[in-house]
Amino acid sequence: MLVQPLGGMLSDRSTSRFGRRRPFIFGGTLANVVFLAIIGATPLFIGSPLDEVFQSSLGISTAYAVLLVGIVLLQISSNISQGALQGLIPDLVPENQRGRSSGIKAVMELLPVFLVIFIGPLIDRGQVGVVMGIVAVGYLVTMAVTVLFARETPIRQKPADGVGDRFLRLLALTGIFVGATRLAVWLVSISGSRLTQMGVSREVQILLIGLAGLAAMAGSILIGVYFGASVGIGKEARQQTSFIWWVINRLLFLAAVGSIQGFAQFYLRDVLQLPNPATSTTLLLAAVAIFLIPSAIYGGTLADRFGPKRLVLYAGLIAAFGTLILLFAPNFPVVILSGCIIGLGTGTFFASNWALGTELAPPQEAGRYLGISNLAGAGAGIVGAGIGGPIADFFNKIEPGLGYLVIFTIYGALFLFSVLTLAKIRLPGQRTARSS
Amino acid sequence: MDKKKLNWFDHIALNACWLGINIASGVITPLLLPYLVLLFMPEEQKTPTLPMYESSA
Repeated sequence: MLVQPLGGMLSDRSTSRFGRRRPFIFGGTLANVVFLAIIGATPLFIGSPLDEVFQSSLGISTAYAVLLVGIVLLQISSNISQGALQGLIPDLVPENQRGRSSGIKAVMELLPVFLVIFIGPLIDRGQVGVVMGIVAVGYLVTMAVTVLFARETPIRQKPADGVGDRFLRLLALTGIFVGATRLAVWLVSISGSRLTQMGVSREVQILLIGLAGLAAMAGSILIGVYFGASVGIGKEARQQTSFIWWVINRLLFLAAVGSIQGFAQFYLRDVLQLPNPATSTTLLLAAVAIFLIPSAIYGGTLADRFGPKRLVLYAGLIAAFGTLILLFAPNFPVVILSGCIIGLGTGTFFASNWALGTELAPPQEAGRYLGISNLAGAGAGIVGAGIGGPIADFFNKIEPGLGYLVIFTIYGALFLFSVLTLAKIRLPGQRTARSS
Repeated sequence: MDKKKLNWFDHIALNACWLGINIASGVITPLLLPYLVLLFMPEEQKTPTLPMYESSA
């Protein structure tokens, strides 16, 4: 939430002769590999003579402390390179091809779902070194392809304004968003316990807590992103309200789809009472992925033709329809059908929503702005599962499985809210239907 | 910005780095971290419920 926009901002200002994005992508990836090696080496610290020191001061082993440091450093370096990488599409791809490019980006983000299936058995066999090697090669090869073939034109002059004020704004943005979401979690849990003490009926509890949960999720997104992004962007925020509403649209959708995926296994186990929920979840995710990847590619192409905003609208409606089917699914085949529909909507969303964002971010500061959009990526879990989890727990205590039905209804509503936010997004200049 | 039409290879090359980043995040967070955390946990803190967490993570 903080480092990624910071990486984007620093790359926006870079006057390197290699271009403003590539040095950060290159340096960030090399640092990733170094920190990955530290993580891979952590098993060597088991039984270290320093264990007593760490146990007495921090209550953890040396290996655990090294792992913690390695992960934090990897997060920093990876987010710096991602912040710069996000600027490549707005920098180098003409507007009428950004849908296609965003579709390819979405595929690159989704493909690892299949690849990691082969990694699990290696970890089970304790082959951490082999896994680290695969990840490191993945980092280096893909970085080399991007760095060698992205033809950047360096900027000659650094922007006049300083970075200090902008950094403080990004810090405030993070604080406001985290504060708003934690407040929402607290409000839901306090209202749940109060209603239980008051002894109101089950139906009234479902209605009130369900509505409170929906208000908490949508409200924390709205307040957290609107005020957080306004502070983070600074005085030009008034001219960038469409961009802020785009982040809200993105977070509403990602919070819903990520949480449905996260709770799918529990839903299959507790609501449909399937005997092998883990296997069924794998089948469901595979079915979703089959629809996800082609719809990301074709969704991007269609976004170039009809405009990304229209495709984002269809994506939200399709995903909401899929969730509705999921809520009333009597058996596993209907769950698979709903998963395919949600996958279709999600793939379309991934491509068209990013294409929309690249049009809304100011070209000179695309890195910083699209870095701020990581509020949606990082915030989706905090909002969707962070607030949805306690709600599910509350209702599951009343009746096993009931909680998942309530929160899936809320997630369906979040898809529809994401569609409504599009009314607040105005594209720069007049858009007409374009041909690819 | 150069307004020329990019071909499929250009789009793939421009976005290739996302593949590496997402392979890493897809492996490290859900698979590797739970394995290592479990490995570094003292024997007396390991409970029968932990393997359940590991298999669902």
